[in-house]
Formats: sequence, C-alpha cells, structure tokens
Amino acid sequence: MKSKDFIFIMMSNKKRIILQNNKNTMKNYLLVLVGISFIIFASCSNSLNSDDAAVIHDSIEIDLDEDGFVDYNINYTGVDIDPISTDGGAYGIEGHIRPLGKNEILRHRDKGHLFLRNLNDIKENVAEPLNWRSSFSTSIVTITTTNAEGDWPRKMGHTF
Amino acid sequence: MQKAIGPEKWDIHSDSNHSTYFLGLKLVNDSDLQLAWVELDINNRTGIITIADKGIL
Repeated sequence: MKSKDFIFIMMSNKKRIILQNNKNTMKNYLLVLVGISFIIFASCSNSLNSDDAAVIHDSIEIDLDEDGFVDYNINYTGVDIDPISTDGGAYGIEGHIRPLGKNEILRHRDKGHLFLRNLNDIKENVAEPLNWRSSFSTSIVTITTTNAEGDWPRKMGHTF
Repeated sequence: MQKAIGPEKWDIHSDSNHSTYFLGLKLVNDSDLQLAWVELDINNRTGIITIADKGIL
C-alpha cells in the first residue's frame, strides 16, 4: 500500500467515525425531545383534570321519616365575593343545608352545625351553648377562586 | 353544572376534622315532634356531600 492510499483510508475512517458520532448525538437529542414532550403533556393533562375544578353540585334531598316529603335539603350556590372591588372580586361556591317547614337544626354557638359527635346531645330542649334553629340556611362547605393557594377571604368566613 | 378554577380543597365548616360529620335535627309538624340525626360524608376535594347514615331517635 502506498502512503497516499493509506492516508485516504485513514481519512475515510475518520469521516465514518464523525458521521457515527453525529448519528448518536441526534439520537440523544431526539430522546431528550420526546422525554420533554411527554413531561409537558403529562403536566397539562393533570392541570386540566376536571376533578380539580370547583363544581356546583346537584342538590340533595333528605327525607328522614320516609313519609315522601323532603325534610331538609342541601343546595350548592355560586356566590360573588366582593364584586365591586378593583380586581373584579372572586367567585365562590357554598353548600347549604336548609330545614323545610318548621324543622330545625341543632347548632353550637361557637362551633356551628357540624360540631356533633355524641347523639345523646340531641334533646328536645337544650341549653347554651346549644340551640335549635329553624329559619336559617347555613353553609357547611365553601370554596372560592380568590387565589390558587386556597386562602379564604374574610367575607367567605364560616357562618356559624 | 358550572365550573370555576379554584383551590383544590373545599372548606368544611367544622372546628375539627373527621371522616364523617353529624347533624342533630328536629322534625316538627303540627301534631308531632321527632328528634333525628344525619351523618354526612363530605369530600373536601370535590365538595360532594353524601348521606352516610340517618336515623330517628
């Protein structure tokens, strides 16, 4: 083999090695690109999950004595909080329980309606801090759009 | 159903956290009075309230 031929072969091999390296680099880039696309797709799918959105649910009817007449119902309503504020206020949803007719709900002065842990506390006549309420529709759950951190505005506070 | 983007958890108006919550109830009509209770299961992620149990005392 002449030295000229040897140099030519060496250069061809070098080119082949460079081309091979370029192929591997492209492959790695593609893999990284596919990985990033997958991560972006997965995070978008999670953020659009309908379970994360606040929803006004259907109302619930409670017929305790099963006489065919509803005794209490639980309704969800949308509420505008501070609608005249400069930033446009916020939107919230409340779930209320409402006694129908003359029916009443036991209430604790400081703890609201969801205080009860002992059914023996339910008596026809109760003393402070307990009392019976008939005419009030009371919110038992709320959610608001005020901010993503889930801080509750003062106006949305518990209505015990 | 109306949807709004908001915080992920609903606020349950109770001073303590439980798996279910009880309400004391009084059924009143012109001739009768009955004491009753209802046990509510409140999902703080969805806000859905379901009746876990109920009874007349």
